[in-house]
Amino acid sequence: MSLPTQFRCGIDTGGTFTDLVALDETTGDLVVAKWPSSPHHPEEALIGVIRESQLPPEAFSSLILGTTVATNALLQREGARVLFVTTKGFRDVPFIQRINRRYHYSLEWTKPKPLAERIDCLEVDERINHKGEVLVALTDQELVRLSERIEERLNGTDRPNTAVAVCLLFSHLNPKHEQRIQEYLTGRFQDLPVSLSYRVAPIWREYERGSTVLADAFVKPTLQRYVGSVRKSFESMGISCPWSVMKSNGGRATAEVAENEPVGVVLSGLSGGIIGGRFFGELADHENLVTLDMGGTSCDVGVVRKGQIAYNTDYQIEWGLPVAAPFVDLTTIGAGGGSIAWIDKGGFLRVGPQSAGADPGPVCYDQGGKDVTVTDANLVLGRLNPNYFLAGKMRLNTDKAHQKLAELGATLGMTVEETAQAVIEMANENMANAIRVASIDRGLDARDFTLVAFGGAGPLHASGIVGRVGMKRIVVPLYPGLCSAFGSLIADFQVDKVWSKHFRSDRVDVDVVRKHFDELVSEAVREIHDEGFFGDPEMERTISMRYAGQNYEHDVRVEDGEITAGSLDEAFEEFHRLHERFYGYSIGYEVIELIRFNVKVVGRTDNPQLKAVATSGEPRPRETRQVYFKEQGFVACPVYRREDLRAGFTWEGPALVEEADSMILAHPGDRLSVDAHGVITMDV
Amino acid sequence: MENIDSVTLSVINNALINACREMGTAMMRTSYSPIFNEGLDFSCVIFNTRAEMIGQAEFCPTMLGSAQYAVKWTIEELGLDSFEPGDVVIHNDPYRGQCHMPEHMVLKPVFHGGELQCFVGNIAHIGEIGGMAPGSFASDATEVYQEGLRLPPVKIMQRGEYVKDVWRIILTNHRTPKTSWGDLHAMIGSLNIAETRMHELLERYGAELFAAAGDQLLDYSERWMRSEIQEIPNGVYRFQDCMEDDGVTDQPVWMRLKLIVKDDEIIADWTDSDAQASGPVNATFVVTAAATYSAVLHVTNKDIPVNSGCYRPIRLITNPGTVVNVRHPGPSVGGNTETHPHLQNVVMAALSQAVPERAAAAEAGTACNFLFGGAHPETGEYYTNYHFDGGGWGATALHDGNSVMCPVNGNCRNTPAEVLETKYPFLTLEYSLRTDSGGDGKFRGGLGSKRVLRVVGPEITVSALLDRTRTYPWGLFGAGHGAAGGLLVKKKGDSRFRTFSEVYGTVSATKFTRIVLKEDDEVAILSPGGGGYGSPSERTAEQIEDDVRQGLISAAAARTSYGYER
Amino acid sequence: MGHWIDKNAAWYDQSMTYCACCGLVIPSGYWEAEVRGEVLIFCKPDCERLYLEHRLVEGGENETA
Repeated sequence: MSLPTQFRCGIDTGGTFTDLVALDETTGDLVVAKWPSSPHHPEEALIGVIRESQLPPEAFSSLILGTTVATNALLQREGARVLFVTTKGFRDVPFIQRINRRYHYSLEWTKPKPLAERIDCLEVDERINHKGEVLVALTDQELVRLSERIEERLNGTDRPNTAVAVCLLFSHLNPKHEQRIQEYLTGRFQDLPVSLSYRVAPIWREYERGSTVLADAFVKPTLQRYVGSVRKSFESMGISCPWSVMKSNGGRATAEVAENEPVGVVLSGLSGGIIGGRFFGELADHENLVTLDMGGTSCDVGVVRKGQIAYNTDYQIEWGLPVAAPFVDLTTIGAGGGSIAWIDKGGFLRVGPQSAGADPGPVCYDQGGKDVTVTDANLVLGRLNPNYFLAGKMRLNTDKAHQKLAELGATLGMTVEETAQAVIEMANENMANAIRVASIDRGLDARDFTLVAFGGAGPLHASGIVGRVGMKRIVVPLYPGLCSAFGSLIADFQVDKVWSKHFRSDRVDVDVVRKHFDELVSEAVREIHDEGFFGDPEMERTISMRYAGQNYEHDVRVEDGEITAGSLDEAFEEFHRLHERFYGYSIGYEVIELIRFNVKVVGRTDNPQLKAVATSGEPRPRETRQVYFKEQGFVACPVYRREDLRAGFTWEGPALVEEADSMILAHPGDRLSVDAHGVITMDV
Repeated sequence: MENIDSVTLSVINNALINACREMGTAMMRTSYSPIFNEGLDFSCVIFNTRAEMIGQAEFCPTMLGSAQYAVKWTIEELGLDSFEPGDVVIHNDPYRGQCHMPEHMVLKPVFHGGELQCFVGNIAHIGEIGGMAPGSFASDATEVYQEGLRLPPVKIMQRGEYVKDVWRIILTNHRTPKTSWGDLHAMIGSLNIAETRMHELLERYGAELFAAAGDQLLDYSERWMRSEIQEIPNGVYRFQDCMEDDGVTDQPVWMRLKLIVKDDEIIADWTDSDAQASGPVNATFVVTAAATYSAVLHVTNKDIPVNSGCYRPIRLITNPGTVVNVRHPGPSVGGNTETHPHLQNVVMAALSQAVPERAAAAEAGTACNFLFGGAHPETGEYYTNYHFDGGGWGATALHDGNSVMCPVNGNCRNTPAEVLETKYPFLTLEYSLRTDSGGDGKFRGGLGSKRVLRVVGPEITVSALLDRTRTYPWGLFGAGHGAAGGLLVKKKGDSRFRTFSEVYGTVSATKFTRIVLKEDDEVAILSPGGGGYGSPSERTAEQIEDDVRQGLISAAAARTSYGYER
Repeated sequence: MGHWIDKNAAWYDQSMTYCACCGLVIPSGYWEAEVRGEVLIFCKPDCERLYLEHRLVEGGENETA
């Protein structure tokens, strides 16, 4: 078979599977493939999944990879030896941290270990003050002294796996000393990567900025190796199209950008889902969305407001170890198919956050799992097909699940079905709560939103979740289990730039602000071109503001067009309004401080034209199964295959729709409909 | 009302916690003082109409144990029928159920269907409330009247409108009224958010179920706490500790505990404690109660929903007029920051005799309170700041103590040097771990910190209130104690640091007010290390080697404390 | 056995009453009980019980109480 180069392809490397979705840009056809992940050699799974797709190497027009290599390096602490360089007197800041603790009443908790050892934290005699003025100059002598100490540490170590992170006090206001250290060290030590705090996180608070630059240096060699091996694999397969890596902010970075500033791709594997979810939500004509990606161990909840994805800059590697870089804002909780049901000491049933994982997995996997999981509860209530799990690749043992649920039920004084129902309700409640938190944190009312449910377990639980938060409508994407890979292939280009500078609203220098905003914009445009986008990008300028004396800021958008005193005044008015809305009060006469000037440029990727599905014919259920519902008990429920459904088909629950990678459950009374592209909408 | 199913109960519990978290986030983001927005020195709470706490969120635990007393006072003094929608009550009186004067509670009644259903509230540290010392931490105060503006429960908002007379009294008496104005608005604004959440909850479940759920949550926590206490062996456990001086006289003040564990109850009998001190190291009754509750919570399951129900099985006995229950008009500002962790450590030490595997050695036990203020050299505006530091925590049966942590009675964050220097004319020369400050043991105590500050600009007026500079955080079961802390000063031109008593002749070297430092003078704040756990001879060679390699202990200490030769 | 008393203090009254057992300053209502011929003020009935069960016994005032 010979195909023209017309496949845009997204590949998402997850913990258990590597997923591929390729779009034929001329026909709108989708090709999908799944291959077991190989955590230590991610490129092998890449090759595997591409082969599995049966697309020839010359068929690809572009490839976008979502990867968890950086996330895993951080979470599993398998990264570089980092040499941390900081201002004299401050080498212990990564260890002292912020001195608060995770739990009020636990003596078991220990402080997180920073990503560098104390002996590798080096001080240089230099000092910049809070106005960016040099108090102590950085001398050549001091640079020599620093490089001697680095030399000592490089001797006899795994040099390719060593990186330097620099965080000097107030470098976000004056980066000259940091830049000078980088120049010097790069000249002195070949191939020694040097990360600078003012570049990766130009924010005040030395601990948070330092923690971020440590993370950047820590994953840099890992990223470099990953990019190198992917490059080699693609060459060996004869793939020559451009490729990029998903960024944490939902944009995409070329291989070079990813390996030079890896802090931007730390959450590469997370952003595909919400982008895919947004696409299908918008396809179904909704712009206010909550995305719910429920897999085996965890559930990610995201919010899309008027088509805009929310961002955050406070990712925690573990509690107390922040990475302050922009990422798509997701609320992750330990609720998935493998989440374990247990009874706490007070006698309450709890579900998660512990998970049975893939091994031993739920009781019904029959691999030695002893703890009742959400999947077991789903199976016992007839919501899963024991013979069509993963399209029949795994058979589930209903009897064993039944027996363990009966044991759990005995301690609660409930029947097997009541127990299973309670387990599912607890899991649903946890997810509903994540939705509340995700929306409330942004001052939004979840009831105005549509739920886009995906991941292996999302569509199964969606109907049980929405009622709890007052939502009315659910959208289930095509290939719900592969939504992250799909999101990768439609990801836009995006570059974020920040300038930290302090002004008061009563003494702001409009010309300086205009000049810097213009510079930021041209820098960002240059970078987005470097990343492979050649059109006219969209642009958003915001200013981080607070009332004089406060410590936390709110980003306020500045109107498009030239910056003038008038456009700044309008932004100040908007700040008062936002403050009132979010925090319940505003102080109209108070001076506003301007802290950061932010530019985001976005290069839009054309939305794919999906193929229309057939319209003729009435689908027939493949079987009828007894499914348990809280109000009705067991009810006869028709089971459809998704591939049998036709556009325009509408019907009423109870019903199940099964497909290879997911299962959709409609409760009695839910209304389902299939649109022209095969996307299912459920009204509850 | 009959039993509510556990799923619904759990949902309501989560909703109460979330409403409190939202309150906290709003306060952090909108407040003005670093003690608020960097320190997070506040608690957010929801109370039923019987003054029982039914929900709270994890911010600073200091105020949690005491809040129920403050709310009870408010309700009883004003009367339940005096509340109207839109009212906000403020209250900071240590003689009406508060911990100490800087901590202000604001409380808002929540109505539904015309009926009062619950209260949402928060308690937070207002940085400056007047009194004899800038920053309102008068270490040599002898009466509550010197410690700042004392407010009984009074309305500052009535039906949503400012009660201007009260505001004017407050703002007139605080040295930095603009900051108080902002912080109080942050507190009140967050109440509005929680009120909205309560309305949603009441809308969804109805008043009857909401009230019943509150009651059942209290019972649930009580039940769980009783079952936890049941697992602690019955017995009488004693311990004592002292404040090394009180800021006014150079005399130690002892707090003595007899802790009785009897089946599913604990009685904390503090009646053998010393008479109250002349200076402000006295604890109010509610501080002693909060410290006792908190220590018990530390050795029981961390997942018990914390509400008033947990406290029911814990009963207190104290004598008014002692250091653990100051009698009017004794001063008490340091009782909450300094005596509070001491008390909690005493309870923990008593419990360590009963449940050694669940206890920890003593932690630093001092917040190293360091207050300063003056006219800012850049703006000319008057400023004050309440600065504190963390210290080493005690080791446990399972691991080394954490280094540099907020004292156990709080859970506040430090102020970053970049924030401190942007706001105040101090330059930070050093912020580091103190080598060898952790007590030796099978598990080593956490290290304390050293902070050196230099005055930028003509002058800064400073006050301090530290303890554990002559006593030590003890180790447990054969382990060594942590290093003592200290507060030192180096005048411009001097070659070494000396104590404030040596340089300025203060009665106490670490508890004083209103010393004027000049440009380029330096201050060193040393926080204590935590105590160790278990015999040092049981520490492994690898652990000792690693400590030496990382510079956490010196080679000399490895030799003398552990007999370790390389 | 004691009974509840309303302090009924004037709103301008700033005097303070302490519980005879736990030592708490009492807001407005208190529990009054006669213990061996002496009228004592408690903040709640439980404090009277604690006083009888513990303070009298453990405090060594009267081993037989």
